Amino acid sequence: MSTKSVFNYINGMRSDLNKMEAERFVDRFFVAKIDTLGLELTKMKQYWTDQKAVSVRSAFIFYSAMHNAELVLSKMKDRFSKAHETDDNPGVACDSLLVMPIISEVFQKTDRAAEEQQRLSPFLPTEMLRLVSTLRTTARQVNLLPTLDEEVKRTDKNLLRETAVGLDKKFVASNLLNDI
Amino acid sequence: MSHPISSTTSKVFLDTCVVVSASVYASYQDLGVEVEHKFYTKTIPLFEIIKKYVNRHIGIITSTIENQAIATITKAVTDALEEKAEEILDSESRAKLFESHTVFFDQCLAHLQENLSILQREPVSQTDRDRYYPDVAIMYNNLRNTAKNLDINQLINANVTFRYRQTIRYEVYKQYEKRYKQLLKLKNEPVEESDKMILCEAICLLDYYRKAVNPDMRIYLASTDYHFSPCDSEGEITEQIKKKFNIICDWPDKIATYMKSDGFN
Repeated sequence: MSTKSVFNYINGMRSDLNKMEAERFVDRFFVAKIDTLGLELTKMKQYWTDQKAVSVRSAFIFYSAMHNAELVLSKMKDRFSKAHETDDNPGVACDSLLVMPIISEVFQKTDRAAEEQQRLSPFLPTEMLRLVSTLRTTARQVNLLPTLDEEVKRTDKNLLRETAVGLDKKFVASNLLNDI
Repeated sequence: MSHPISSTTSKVFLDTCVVVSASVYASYQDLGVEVEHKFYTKTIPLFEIIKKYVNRHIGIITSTIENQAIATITKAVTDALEEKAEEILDSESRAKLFESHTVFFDQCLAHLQENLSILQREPVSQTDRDRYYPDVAIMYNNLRNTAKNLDINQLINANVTFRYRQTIRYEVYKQYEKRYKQLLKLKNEPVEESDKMILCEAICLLDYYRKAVNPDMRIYLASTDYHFSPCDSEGEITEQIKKKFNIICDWPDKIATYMKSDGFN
């Protein structure tokens, strides 16, 4: 799917959600659309992990943005799948409407960064951090953010342990502020 | 002139290092691993007080602190990632590595957001901040000159009689080293521009609060940085900052005890 198609797809999903909210009826088939968008985010994640033209720091920030958008979509999918059994109708559609515009902007900025690469605006990574923070805060408020336990379950535990131990040493040993 | 928010007489301005220390922790019970910044526990009592009295707006920061805190956490995590990512070339392993770092990174940023939400962000104009820069720069320059001229051997020769000099030299040397630890550190690591700016902002805020809120207002600067806070019990830099600018600098746990004495129990 081209970038333009992804935006159109997200806009289409927003229209679907508006309709579901107005009709107070959740369409189960929306799950397939979440999967399709999820695949596009996964591709973008992969692009940033393999990216060598920009610093690891910038690549990580855009990767992390895609990862967070994917997390929100996974929770959205989970709620849509169970909406009829859990009486989440049309609650999940209303909640999803709040996060979809942010996901759209996150994707838009990440795509712009991919285009800019070495000409990447120095402000874009910081803007992205703020946007992701907004996404997480909003998603948490409307129960569209997986819990830490759910997030950890998706991660390679051995590697996470290794990372945590390594970072613990770093945070204990160094005076971070001297390194900014 | 009364203030619309509160008549609190003490405020705490939090240095970037304190905001970062309070945000960097994570516990993965399933994995039996805990990550914690080395000064995390020292920040707990202060944040407890700030949270308890959140409506009194006693904990303050500026946009400088907020931006530096985000940059510091990002840098620490991405530096760690960078070290490992260089060795790993295959796509799948890199993806896993990025994922394990983002879990921790997201948590720290979430904690940071939570901490920032209970702090009052005060605006400080660059013009106001720059007004105090020369005084702050001169103070640190003078202290650095003092530090450069500090010769412990000379101090021992001047203060200890010749008869005892050799036998107790080691002990006395250690005592002097402890006494002048802050200056000796300044000698080796000069103060950074960003630290000077933070002190300028603290001075601006004190000026503002004294004029607009309460002429008896006290401002504490909570910091784990020896360019502000004492290394042990004494510190020439800390004393000078208090004497010249009326800002009381100390470690966050110490500031918590001062706040308790000021009625924030």
